[in-house]
Amino acid sequence: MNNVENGHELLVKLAKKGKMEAFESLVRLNETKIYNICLRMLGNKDDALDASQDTFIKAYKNISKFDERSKFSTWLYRIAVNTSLDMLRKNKSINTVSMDDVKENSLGAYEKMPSPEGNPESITLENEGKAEVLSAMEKLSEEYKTALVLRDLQGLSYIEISRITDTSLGTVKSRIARGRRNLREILTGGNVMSLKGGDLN
Amino acid sequence: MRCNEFYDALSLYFDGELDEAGINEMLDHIRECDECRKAYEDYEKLKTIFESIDDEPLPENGHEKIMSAVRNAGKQPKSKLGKTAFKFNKKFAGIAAVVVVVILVGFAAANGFFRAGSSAPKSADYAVAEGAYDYKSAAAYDEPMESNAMTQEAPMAMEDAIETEEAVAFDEEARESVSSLNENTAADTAVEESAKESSSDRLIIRDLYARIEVENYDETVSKLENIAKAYGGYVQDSSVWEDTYYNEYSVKNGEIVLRIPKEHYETVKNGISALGKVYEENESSTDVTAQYVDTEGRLKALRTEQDRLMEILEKCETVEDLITVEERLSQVRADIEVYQNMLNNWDRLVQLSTFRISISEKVPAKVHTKLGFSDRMSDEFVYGLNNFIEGWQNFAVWLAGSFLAIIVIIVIIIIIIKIIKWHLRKRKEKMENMYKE
Repeated sequence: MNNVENGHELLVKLAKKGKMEAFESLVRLNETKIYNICLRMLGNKDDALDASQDTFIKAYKNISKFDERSKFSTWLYRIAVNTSLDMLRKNKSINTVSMDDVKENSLGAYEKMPSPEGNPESITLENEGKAEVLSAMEKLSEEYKTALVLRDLQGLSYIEISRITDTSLGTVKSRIARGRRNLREILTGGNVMSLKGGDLN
Repeated sequence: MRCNEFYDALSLYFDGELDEAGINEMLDHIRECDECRKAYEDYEKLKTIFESIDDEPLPENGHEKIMSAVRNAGKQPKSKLGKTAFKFNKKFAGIAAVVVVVILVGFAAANGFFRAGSSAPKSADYAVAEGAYDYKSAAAYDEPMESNAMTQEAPMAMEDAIETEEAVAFDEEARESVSSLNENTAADTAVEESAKESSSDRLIIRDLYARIEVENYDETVSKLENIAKAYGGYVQDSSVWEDTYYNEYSVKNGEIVLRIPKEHYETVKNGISALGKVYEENESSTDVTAQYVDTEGRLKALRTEQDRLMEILEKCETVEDLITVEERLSQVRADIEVYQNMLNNWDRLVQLSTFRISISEKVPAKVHTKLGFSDRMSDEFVYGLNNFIEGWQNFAVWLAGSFLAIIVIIVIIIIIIKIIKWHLRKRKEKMENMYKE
């Protein structure tokens, strides 16, 4: 971790001097993460690649403003998240699901959910589960989605998330908690999991 | 624990952010509440699903696509920044061009002035005036041009406010493009620069002390003030005192402290030595890089501790815990402030070099030459006579100034004396009466 960051520091310094090779190394080191953050935020590969491009363009143009005392990857993630959010707002086609509608029938639907443990079906269910979870993530509101993408998919710490989203630690905690709660309600209440489970049974 | 709180705890629990007390409370709640137990199981499932979702690889040629986009953006600043910026550019391209020209003229004027300043530092005053004049004329010239362009290029009616606002925006944009052009040229010489990098990254505080003798104190000080202004610095301190020789010649001495941006250190140093005869010059440079980095590290550690304490604070259950954490937190915050101030102070000191200049006015040559005996006798006699006369004059003046107070004091003294006399007389009368009896 530390070594990686040290490598970053030198590269950042060189990139600040305008050395394209250094910047390219920074791109290579971070592009997969950035692409995946954008992908999970936006939900499709084309948009994700566009957003990744924009992220690195912005980073390249503003690298002189980057404060070397902070972590480069955090700075980059922040740009990626903001770029993705901007793009999301532009693409108005993306639906958001009102949580109130979901809450009402959430419990009943959840009862039908099969247990995935032990039997061969569980593997299938888990595979299905990935897609269901990811599509459910897309229905979350902006803040919750951002929090869960960074925490549950990218595995970042609360502190890092608070720096990326420029919010307090308390806000991050509550967004993650509420985001997960909403996610579960979408999955159970939206009948997504139980429908698939029913097919399997 | 209520179900609402349970979800918060559950979330923290799966991130390993819940303390033991919290975990126990949560588990207690699960035993009592079916609904929440199901939530717990679901969260476990969610967690395994999340863990099974790996990062997807970049699409084919993804890296090349990103890099070519970055390279294009680097070559043509602003063109990739979206439609609105492009439209804006095209619409007001004329004004942008004018602004660029104006800035270039400004730069040229500034360069001319700096050259004048460094090659002929003696005429610093003149150079400043010249520079100011150039700027003024450029600004005056630019205004009508700009508004012309405005009316030609954008015939739609626009409010003055919008007009100026946009002009300002353009100014910035043009500046940015100029600076990004510089960046491009910088990229070419990056290799050489990176070699120098280590030395330019050092944080060095530069100070200069100089003692100079000049013909005219006031003139020199105003020259120094102009130098400070011209190079973006300021006068931090100045003091002056007068020395008198033989009651006849008076010369001014003084000290002035200038703070000048470090880039102009050499120029200003040369300018100062050209102001007069330099008797003493001390340069000192202190490298604070090590301390700076050290302090930065400490600050970072303290910040981390602060974050951790904040986390703990939120989990505190008892008042005692709360107080202990809060106490430590305020200590950490105080330390952070101290270290931050140190860093800020260093930043300032490194950014601005300090010039402490001790100035003494030349003592007229007459005073230095040795006088003959008779001259000294007559000088001393005149001096004594003058002193005597002056002394009496001063006394007379003092009397005139304080005559009211003197009258009051005299009246008081008279009254006191009268009272005492009256007392004595009374006693005497008493005694006489006693004897009579």
